[in-house]
Amino acid sequence: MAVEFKKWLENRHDVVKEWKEKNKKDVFGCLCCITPEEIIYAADALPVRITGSSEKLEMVDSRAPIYACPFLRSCLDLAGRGIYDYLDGVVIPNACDFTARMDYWWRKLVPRANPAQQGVELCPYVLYIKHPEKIGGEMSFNYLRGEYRIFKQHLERRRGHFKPISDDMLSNAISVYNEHYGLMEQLTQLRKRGLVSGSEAFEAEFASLLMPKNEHNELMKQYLGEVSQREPKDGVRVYLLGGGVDQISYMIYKVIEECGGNVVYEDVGVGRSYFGRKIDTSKPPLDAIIEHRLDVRCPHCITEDRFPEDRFIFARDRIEGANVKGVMWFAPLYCECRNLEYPFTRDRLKEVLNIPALYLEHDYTLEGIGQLKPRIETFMEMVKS
Amino acid sequence: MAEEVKKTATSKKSVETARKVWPYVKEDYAMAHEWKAAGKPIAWTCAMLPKELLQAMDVYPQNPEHYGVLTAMFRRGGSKDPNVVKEAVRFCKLAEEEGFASYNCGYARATIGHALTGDLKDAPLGGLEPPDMVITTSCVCDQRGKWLRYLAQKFNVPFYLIDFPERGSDLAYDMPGQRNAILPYHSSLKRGVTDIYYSPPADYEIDYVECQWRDLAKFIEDVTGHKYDQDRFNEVMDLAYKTNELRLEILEYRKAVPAPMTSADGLSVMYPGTYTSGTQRAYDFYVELRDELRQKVEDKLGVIPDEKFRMLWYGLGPWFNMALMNYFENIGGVFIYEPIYNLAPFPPRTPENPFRELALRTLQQSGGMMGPMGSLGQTVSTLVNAARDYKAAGIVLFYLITCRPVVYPVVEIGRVLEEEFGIPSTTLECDLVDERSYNEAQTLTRWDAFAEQMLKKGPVAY
Repeated sequence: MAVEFKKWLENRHDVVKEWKEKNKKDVFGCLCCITPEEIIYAADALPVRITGSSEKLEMVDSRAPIYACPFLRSCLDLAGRGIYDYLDGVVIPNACDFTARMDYWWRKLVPRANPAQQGVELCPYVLYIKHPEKIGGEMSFNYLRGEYRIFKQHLERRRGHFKPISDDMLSNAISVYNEHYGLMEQLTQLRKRGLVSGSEAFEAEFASLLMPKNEHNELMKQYLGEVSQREPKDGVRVYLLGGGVDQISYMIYKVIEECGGNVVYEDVGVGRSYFGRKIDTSKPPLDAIIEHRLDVRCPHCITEDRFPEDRFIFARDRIEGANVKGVMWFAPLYCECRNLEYPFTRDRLKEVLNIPALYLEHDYTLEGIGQLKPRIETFMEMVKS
Repeated sequence: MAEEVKKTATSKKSVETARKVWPYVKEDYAMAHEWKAAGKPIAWTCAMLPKELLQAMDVYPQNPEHYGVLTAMFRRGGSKDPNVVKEAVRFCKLAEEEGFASYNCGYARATIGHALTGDLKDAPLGGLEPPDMVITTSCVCDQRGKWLRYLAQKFNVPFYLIDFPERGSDLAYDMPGQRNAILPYHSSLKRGVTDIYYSPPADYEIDYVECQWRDLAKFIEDVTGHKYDQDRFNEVMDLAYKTNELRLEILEYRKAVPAPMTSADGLSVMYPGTYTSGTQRAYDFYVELRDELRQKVEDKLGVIPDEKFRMLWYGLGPWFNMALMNYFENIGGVFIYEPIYNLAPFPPRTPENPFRELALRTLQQSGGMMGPMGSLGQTVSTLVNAARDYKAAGIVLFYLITCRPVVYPVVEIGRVLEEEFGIPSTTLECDLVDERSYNEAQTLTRWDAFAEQMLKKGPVAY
């Protein structure tokens, strides 16, 4: 089953195009966990995560400055080169200062004219969602409901035909996604028992961001059955924080494993690392999706606490019971949201949990990530001693 | 290796009123020290967060980002020895040693370093006073939320973030209540076309910000015990409104040919309105400035005797060496306008609900009129409009490597102005307070080439 997951990671564009051709359905590219994938799924379209590549940049410098996230610059470069032309729409939330501006760059690099009336596009090719930067409470809930209603309306109008997304359709999507979240929880427990390495778990989960969740769920059930029979095999347990982690930069998991470590949990802007619970099925479905998304602790967001220490609490809750010996920040260059959280959280982890932290900056190149190895080895030695 | 000694100079003043900014700033810091000594509450806050509510509730606003500016101007102990590093450099190094990356905003690193010294008073103008609370906004950039949050954590004081949504559409026009662009998409702006589409934010957006303003009043009540008083709030809002009308009038005078005031002074005279809005002092300051500019325009007195080319300045100030902004004046070049810090028209006064009025105003601010505040397309449109309105023939783009919202649009502004409007540009590439990132030789080589280009090109016919 691991081979099937790898296929989606390694040939992501080809397999998605094949899927689209075979199923005659739309595909929407998404950035970041705060995109409400469930609404896209309910609209009978496939949400896929936009990622970068290790190839040389060709287009992006003509539009965007070099002093910016190398991961997102790579994503834009692929857009400009036409690699993402198979997408029927692109969803851009304001996940950081750079992402928030990607709606402009994407429009310029990939101009598309969707059906419009009186100058108003019925469903813009690039859909922007402003996720509240302050999360928690009724205010941000009501605001995000306004944003999601517009987003849903746009999806209902795509291709110029009105196709309503009913509550039943949303509820069906929620049930598929809840099954996914449940399976991911099982995977997490297996990781904590040392049955699945961090890199293998990442591959299994990341594939779910590229393929239909219902198909992924079926593969996962078989996969979990297989791996639960294994003998435990573990390394020094590490909690990983970071950003810009995709099918290229997840090499960091492998480097850590080569140094005798194993990532047992993470907070890297991908899937399970943010979704610690299922969507509440007792509430109206759109409201439940909003609540679920407002529970995401994206580093762009700030909780409404008067004495905030949310990143530390988030880490503490996940580390609990996992016998973690060290924490690593794997932040892309120019990722100020991650970097600005580091000193305070590092100090709290040390003071409260006596767990040391290591900051690793990456430039989203395989060479650059490989060069982090000596520092990781030294950190591992320090942690072991 | 010894660090390179940087040249430092203040800018030449083009208007007399600009000379009064420095005494105004010193008085502000002195008043903050007195305020604190009297046991009254101080909030650390930031630009683009209107101060009216704080003023009305007797909370003294101090602004770390402005303090970052001051640290770029002074050396330790007031030394004039160029071998003594600037306070900004000293503080930035402390922040970097703590783990804050050098690509972070210079304001952030300088004031985090200032806080990390453990002795706030050992700094220019007696430093910032320790805060009783920190109040910031999501507006402008991610840094202002996270950096100010760190400062609140460091001082263990209550923290409040007010979120002004970045309304990110670049559509030329959209239906009211949906995605609304405040400025038309830049490619539809042709010379002579002056239409600007205004469409109001949707109710859910206004509600969101209004609720937060109300919540902030409650936060201040909880922290200070001071009660919110709507009449007092309206008095302050009145003053802020009238002050902004003056600032808009000043901008109209600044369009005159020859230019009556430079961008260097524009970046200086923003202080009263940006950091002390809603006070009588700020209002009086702009009355004086307006009167001076009116007289200069009537007398056709320009900044320089023979104005040959007019330029826009994009970005914040190079605070460690503001004299850079006078660089072209001896050959007839003058910076006439800088969109940053200059406010758009306010919505009408609504005394029965000042919170909603403030919500509408702050939503407009974040909608793009302010340049880096909004979406990238609106920033580009702002510059295109400014070039036309102020009759600019060129632009210097501050490639501010540590300020994401300023640097992200730079490539696109340069491209659109050159390709679609024939307006050339050059850059200044460095941080805004940390002069270690500045290379004078490279900068001036580029600028000299640009000056030659501008002189050959001559004025643009608008």
